[in-house]
Amino acid sequence: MDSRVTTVLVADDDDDVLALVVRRLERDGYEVITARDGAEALRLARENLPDLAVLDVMMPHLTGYEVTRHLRQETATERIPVILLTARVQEEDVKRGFSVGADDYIKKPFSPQELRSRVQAVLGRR
Amino acid sequence: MDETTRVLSTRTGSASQVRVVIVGGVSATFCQLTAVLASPSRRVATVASGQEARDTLAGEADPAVVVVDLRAPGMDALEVLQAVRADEGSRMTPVLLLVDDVHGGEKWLTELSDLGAVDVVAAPVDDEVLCAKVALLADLADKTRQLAVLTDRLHDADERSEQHRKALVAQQSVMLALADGGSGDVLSIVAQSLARGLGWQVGVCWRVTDEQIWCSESWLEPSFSAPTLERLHSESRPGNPGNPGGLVQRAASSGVPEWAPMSELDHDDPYVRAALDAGLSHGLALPIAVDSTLVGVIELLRTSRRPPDLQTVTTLGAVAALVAHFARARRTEDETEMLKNEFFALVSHEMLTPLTSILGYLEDLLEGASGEFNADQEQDLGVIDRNARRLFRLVDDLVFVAQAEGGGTVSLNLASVDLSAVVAEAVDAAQTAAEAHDIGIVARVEPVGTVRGDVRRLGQVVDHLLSNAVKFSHDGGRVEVVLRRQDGDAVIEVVDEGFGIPLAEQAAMYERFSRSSIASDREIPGIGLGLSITKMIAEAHGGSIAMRSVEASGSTFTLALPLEARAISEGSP
Repeated sequence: MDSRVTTVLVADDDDDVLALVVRRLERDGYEVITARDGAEALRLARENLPDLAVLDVMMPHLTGYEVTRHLRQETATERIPVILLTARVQEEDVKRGFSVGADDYIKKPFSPQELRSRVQAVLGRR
Repeated sequence: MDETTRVLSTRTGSASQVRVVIVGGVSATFCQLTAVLASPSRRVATVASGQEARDTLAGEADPAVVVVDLRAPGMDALEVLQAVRADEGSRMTPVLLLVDDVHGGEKWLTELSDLGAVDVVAAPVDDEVLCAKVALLADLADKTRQLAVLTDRLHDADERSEQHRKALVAQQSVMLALADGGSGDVLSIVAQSLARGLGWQVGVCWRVTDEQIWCSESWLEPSFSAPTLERLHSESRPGNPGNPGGLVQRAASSGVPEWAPMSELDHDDPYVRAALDAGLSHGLALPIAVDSTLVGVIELLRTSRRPPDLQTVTTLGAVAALVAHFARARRTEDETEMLKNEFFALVSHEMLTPLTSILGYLEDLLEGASGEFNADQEQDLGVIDRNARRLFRLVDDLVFVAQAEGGGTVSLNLASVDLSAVVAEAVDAAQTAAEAHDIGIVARVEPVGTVRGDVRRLGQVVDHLLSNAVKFSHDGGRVEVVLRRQDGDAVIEVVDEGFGIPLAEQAAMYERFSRSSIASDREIPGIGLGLSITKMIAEAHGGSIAMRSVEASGSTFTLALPLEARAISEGSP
């Protein structure tokens, strides 16, 4: 990994959850960009090309699944790893997440350790 | 019944004037014969030849007796008899032969008996004998006809009762299919069971949505082929309904069962054409309405030329009512199911999101990210944390049950699981609650090997059994957890000496939201999901859960899970 600061895009329509994720990632030294809905997340991903996107599944305008699918379809963004945040973890939710190209998922509620280790694992994989 | 009487009386009535046809060419005896036989009770028609006999018989309704005078020159006995037999009306008419001598007559009789010659009179003709024989034969003819009519009626009745029996069998098979086929389209099940039960060749389920009639499924008797019809069925779908033919349309608009020979329907209609081409000659369409809204039409087609009788149609009408009843119940179930799913989706998302914040921020506080707290503050935060986690588990349980019920399956992340570690963790987790009531937890763990399972779900099960044992124990009591091996199973036993469960309530304990009277009386917290979840998880692992409980002296819950080693040794003989 180079000396450049690692940028993470975080999108969640719940301000408190968003702030919680941001705080934890910033504590671990990541630079964080935030979005409050799917459309904004997609726009910011295209503009900033972050090193990782952490996306809530249930968001207004575009769901996390849809944002992921769009990212995978465009050359500039197709390699950005995606972690989905989801409250419902039914088997089909997980399958759907992977089928649109997500790299991992985190179930709500999640501990700081879980977020940290999943983010590190996904970034390390690249 | 009325019709039978009428037909019989018509024939008996006309017997008062016996119709006799004399075939005699032009001979000296001809006029004499006519004179002898003619009487107020007999109507005599005379014809000269076989050819003429054919024409006369065609116009004559059911002649009672045909007399053939073989003495007449140029008379062709064979031709005459064939003419008599060829005519539908005189098919069963007895034929009396007039011959020159007895021996020749017997020869003729032997040769012509196959064609219906039944008696012979030899010259010289005794007028009385002739008249007696004609009267006897006329009587015989009438009796034969009556018998034929009765046989026909009997056959019809047989056929009808057979059809009706089949309709009842079909009705039964429909009911069985409905009771059995929890899933699947009710109407499709019915279309198929009816066609199969009645022995008809084709059963089609037409659905009605947005005033369009489209084919949702069609069933053909396995040995029956109707490619064009099948193509028309498969092409029809919502948005592209196709044409179900006149009969289905007719039933859809009349709202009552409709049936007709295919030949009476519009031959230019491609659907009717295809059915006729496939040899289907009768159709029946049963409209199915739920709360006076037409939801579908079941169409049955068959090759038999016999029309379905009224009783069959009535029975099928009853089937239609039954189906409507089921469809209504199913629709209500579906709506309830949908509401429930939406509700749980809402619960899972809307409750888990704030819980994420509560638990997350609490965790940050407890980690000391915002500075140290004094002992009281830390204790308070601990209470909040414990209760938030309890709330989370509750929501998690509800979601679990909803998922298991909605999809019918429990999804497991399978891996090798060391149950001794699961037990140790569960004991650890139950310790705080146990200590608060001075309850001692004793664990006796034997090495048993691993099971194939979902470590989180199995942990949930043991956690639940242990926390239950603690909740239902007296203060200062004792709870024992045993892990041992038994017949290739890993067995976890959780034993308490607490309140127990009344015998009468034990059977219902695995049902959702079922709580024992003890739990309610003592206000022990819980919503009665734990045991039903435990059972679902145990069974999803191929295991089982059993309970032994005596009121006021304690309960033992036994969880058995197949060991991994056994599964492998059984897999390879």
